[in-house]
Amino acid sequence: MDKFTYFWSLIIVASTLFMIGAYKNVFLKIYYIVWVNRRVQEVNGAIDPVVTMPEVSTIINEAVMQNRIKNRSTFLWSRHSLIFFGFMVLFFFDCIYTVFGHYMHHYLHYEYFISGPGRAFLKFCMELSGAVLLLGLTAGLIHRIIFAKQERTLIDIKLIVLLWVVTLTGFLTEAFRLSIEPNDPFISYSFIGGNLAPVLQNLHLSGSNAAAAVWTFHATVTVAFFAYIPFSKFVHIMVAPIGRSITQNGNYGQMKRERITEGLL
Amino acid sequence: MSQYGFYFDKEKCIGCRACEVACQVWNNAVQTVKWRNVSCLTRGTYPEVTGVNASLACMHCAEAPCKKACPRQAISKEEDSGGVTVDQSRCVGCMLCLWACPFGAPQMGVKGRMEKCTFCEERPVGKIKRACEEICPQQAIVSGRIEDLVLRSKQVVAERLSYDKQAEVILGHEEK
Amino acid sequence: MTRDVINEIRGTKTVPGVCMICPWHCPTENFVKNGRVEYVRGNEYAVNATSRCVKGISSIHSSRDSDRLLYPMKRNSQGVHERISWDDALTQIAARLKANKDAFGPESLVYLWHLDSNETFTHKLFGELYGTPNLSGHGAACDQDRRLAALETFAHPLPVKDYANSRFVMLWGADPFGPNEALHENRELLESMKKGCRLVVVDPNRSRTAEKAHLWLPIKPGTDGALALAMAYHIIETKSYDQAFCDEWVHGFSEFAEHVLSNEYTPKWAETITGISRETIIAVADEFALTKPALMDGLKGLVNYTTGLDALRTVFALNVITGNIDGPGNLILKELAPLDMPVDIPEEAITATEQLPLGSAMGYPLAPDMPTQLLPEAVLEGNPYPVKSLFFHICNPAQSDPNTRLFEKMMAAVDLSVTIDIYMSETAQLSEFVLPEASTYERAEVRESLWAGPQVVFAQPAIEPLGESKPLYEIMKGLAEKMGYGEYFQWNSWEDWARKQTAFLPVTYEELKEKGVWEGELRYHKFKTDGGLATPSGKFEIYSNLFEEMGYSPLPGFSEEHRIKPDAEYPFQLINCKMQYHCGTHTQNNPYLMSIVSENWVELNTNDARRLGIADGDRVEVSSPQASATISAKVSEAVQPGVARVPHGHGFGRRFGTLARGKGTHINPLFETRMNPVSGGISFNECTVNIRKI
Repeated sequence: MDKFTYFWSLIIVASTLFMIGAYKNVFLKIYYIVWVNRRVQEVNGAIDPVVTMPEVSTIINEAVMQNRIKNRSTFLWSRHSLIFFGFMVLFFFDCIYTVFGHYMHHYLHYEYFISGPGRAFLKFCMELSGAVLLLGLTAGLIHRIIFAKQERTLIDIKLIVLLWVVTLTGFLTEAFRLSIEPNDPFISYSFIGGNLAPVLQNLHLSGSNAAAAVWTFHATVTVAFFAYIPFSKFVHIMVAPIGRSITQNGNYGQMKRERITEGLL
Repeated sequence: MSQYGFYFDKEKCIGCRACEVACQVWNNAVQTVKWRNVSCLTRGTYPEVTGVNASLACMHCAEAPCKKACPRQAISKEEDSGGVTVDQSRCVGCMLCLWACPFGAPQMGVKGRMEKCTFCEERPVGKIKRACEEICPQQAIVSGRIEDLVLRSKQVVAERLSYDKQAEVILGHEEK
Repeated sequence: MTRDVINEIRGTKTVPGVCMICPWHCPTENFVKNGRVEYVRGNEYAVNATSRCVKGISSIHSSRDSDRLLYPMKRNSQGVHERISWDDALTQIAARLKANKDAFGPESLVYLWHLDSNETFTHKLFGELYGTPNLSGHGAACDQDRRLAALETFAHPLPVKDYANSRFVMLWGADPFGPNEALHENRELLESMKKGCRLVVVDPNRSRTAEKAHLWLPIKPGTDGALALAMAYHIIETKSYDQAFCDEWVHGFSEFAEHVLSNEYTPKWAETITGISRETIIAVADEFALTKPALMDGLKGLVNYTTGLDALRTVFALNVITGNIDGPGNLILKELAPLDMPVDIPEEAITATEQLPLGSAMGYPLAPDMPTQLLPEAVLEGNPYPVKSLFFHICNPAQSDPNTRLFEKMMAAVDLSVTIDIYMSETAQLSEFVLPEASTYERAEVRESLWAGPQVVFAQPAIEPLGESKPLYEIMKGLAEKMGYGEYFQWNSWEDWARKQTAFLPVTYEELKEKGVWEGELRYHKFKTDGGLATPSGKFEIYSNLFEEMGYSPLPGFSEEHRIKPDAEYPFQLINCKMQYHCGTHTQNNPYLMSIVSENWVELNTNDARRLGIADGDRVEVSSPQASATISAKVSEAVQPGVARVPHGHGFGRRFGTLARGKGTHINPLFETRMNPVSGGISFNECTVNIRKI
């Protein structure tokens, strides 16, 4: 079974799981909420609609600027921002690299992202965002284990370790690949993987078998992580921006309470 | 299973917000997070102005929309006390519960997780009042078993009818 | 009792206390664990039960606040306060007091308080041993006119209300549901209303109480006296007063009737003055006269005008002529509990006062409390006699008195100024010595509370005083020792004097200590059984011979000669109020209350605001002929057009405390020093302003 078949099957399984989870834990929830809100409105004979759509600034503040964490502490916010921006950028370029690079090269012989300047750009961006992500995750891991006693629940540690492993093995995969392909023309753009490769060689760890094993491991945990998103606390990636934008830092609750109070007049 | 609830008398509430602070002091909630909220509204134009105040917290619904809305199954309905509780370790702070709640009760805590009225779970019902009920200077809030509260509201209406023939009868409960 | 349930849940110990946030002194329970107050609530043995108002429950923070005054301080030559030891502070103060007494007489000391806590010790030390007649509350800035009117009519300074049995309640410029909360009274009023009691509120602003009222009369500011006289006119004209009661118990009824009728204080006359239609006046007067029991009372809304004294005298007269006094559902002439003094000073040690109190000496012989706004004159000009030492105990006239700039000048000029407080208030910042007092959670007190019957609150220290702060009785004891009066202040612990103070109560000391409160029997119509009233005639005096002798009008009339009315240049009448969520300096650094409201505002009618182009939340400049202030606007329908309403003197915009610092606007510099010519009460509301958007 070659790499592509393996990865394809992984993606199909994981996407199915992801879709099931997203349907059950995100779509159905939001569908229910919209239904129940409308029903409350109908039963109470309310005139005004309950939902006022959030302003663009609210959405940016909540979904991008992570206001809910900014309100708590600057340290937590910077930590989470490293993870958030690192993850988002990495995920975006990874998708481009996988689809436009590997698959389009594999099936359509499209070269720009596999041997053209696109590859250099993607490599650099992915290395950078991966480093940012790893930095944030490591900070989070250390902070949770050492300082934040109340957050040292298994459920939290497990998740952060999973994502940490995903990121770390990503760098290792790149390093192993470069260690057996030292003449890669874009090696200088992989500023972490490229520097790790000679270290691996010196340690006599490199070899095509090892590289394949690391790649397989990385591909598996990455896809597992993807499938795990809607079933775990990672679901906040999808629901928190929605929920927080609509509830507008609690103002939505205030509006609902005022509407009830108005009904008492 | 018993169902507990709050009885609130809008005619008695003067909007002093002592219940908000009592809840914060008893539950050691931080000063900015209010599990109980008082809304004060004024409507009309001078001099025909009317106003009303309402003190609202979690109603511990029998069929809690927040419970069904939670993508993490963090909210549960306690079998014995009938309270709606939130498992903080499962919560991710997405506030879908607030979107679903008809009363705007769930609050974002300082830990980034949802917090709300716990019906003063330490205080045994029947032996002592809830903190908000205990402090309320006007005794506008009454807590207890829902059957008792329905009975109480009927008594209030009956008392009123005894002197005021024009009184509007509003009962928030339909007999099954 | 339910306090045991809480103790079981939280592992705490119950220590009865008293609330010191406002002058109502509600009995409380403090729940203490490991030297920390975990929870507070009302005393369940008392009439207010477990309830607390928002300020009361929030005041738990003052037992934990690290921004409190923690050690004694003295101002150095650079004007900076420096820490000194208690011994140094008390020694220096005692020496200076002695020097001032020798040079200028004991009356050169003025001691002011606000909350009247443990003040019996002050009376013993400064009143009896040192000999000054100038010990006074801050009533002039508060309910001075009501006190004088009540003293004149009932010979009782503070009539309270028995709402529980009332069928008709009329409140004039009083907002019990808003800032002035007597918890049990509010509860009783609302419960009465559920049983059919009618509530009428006279107020230019739709206050919290007006919100609940059956009828709200939005009167033109300062004209309440005319409305009251018109009601009296109608009641007398229709002879619906209580003839038998008037004959037996009212002094000067015929003069009053003659006065009202001959001056033609008709509803028609009042209509043009007050803006209330004559039909409404007649209807309310009829309802008041025909419903029994009824009560009517007024507070700061009336008092803060130059017309306030006569308005309140008329209001009290209306109660009296309809026989609605001291019975169930009426104004109650509160009976005091038989409390002893904590210490006794032997006759021979008492210094007899030679001089008149400052108020009398300055032309206000009837003033119940010293008109504090006259202090600057006495200090700066030595008129009528020199005042050299000023004490302020939990009292912040720099924020609560008008004409703040003059007050600052006085504080710079006075020889010795001492502030005893729990926060570094504005007055403390202007004082030479600042002494830290223990908060109510850290000190004992045996005092009367304000229930209609006799009620004693026995507060005990729940925790150790914060820092080096000391209870007032310990400060007075220390000062007495330095002044050479130590022998009269002998006790090992507060229990010694508390035991003496409560010796005459029909309850054992142990039981009182356990419960924290004692309530006697609420007796009605005490003047019938106890041999009349303490007035000169022994009756309710509508016609005051004392006033006549002093050269004042013996009957209440309506004169607007001292009124300040809006004109073209200053088109708004500034009326000030209290905020529901704040009460004076001590709530300003409270995170609970500051998260509810952290700033004051000027409230304007929507029409006025629209005309001036002001939207809700805009910053506006409010200027009077005296000064101007920048403040945010609140646009509301609840306030009368032409009226600007500002929560006053609550020390916003202050310099102490991490939370309080820089918040809000101090409005008092706008007020001119204007007062009632008889009582000396400060007429805060006699102020006109212009408002401009900035």
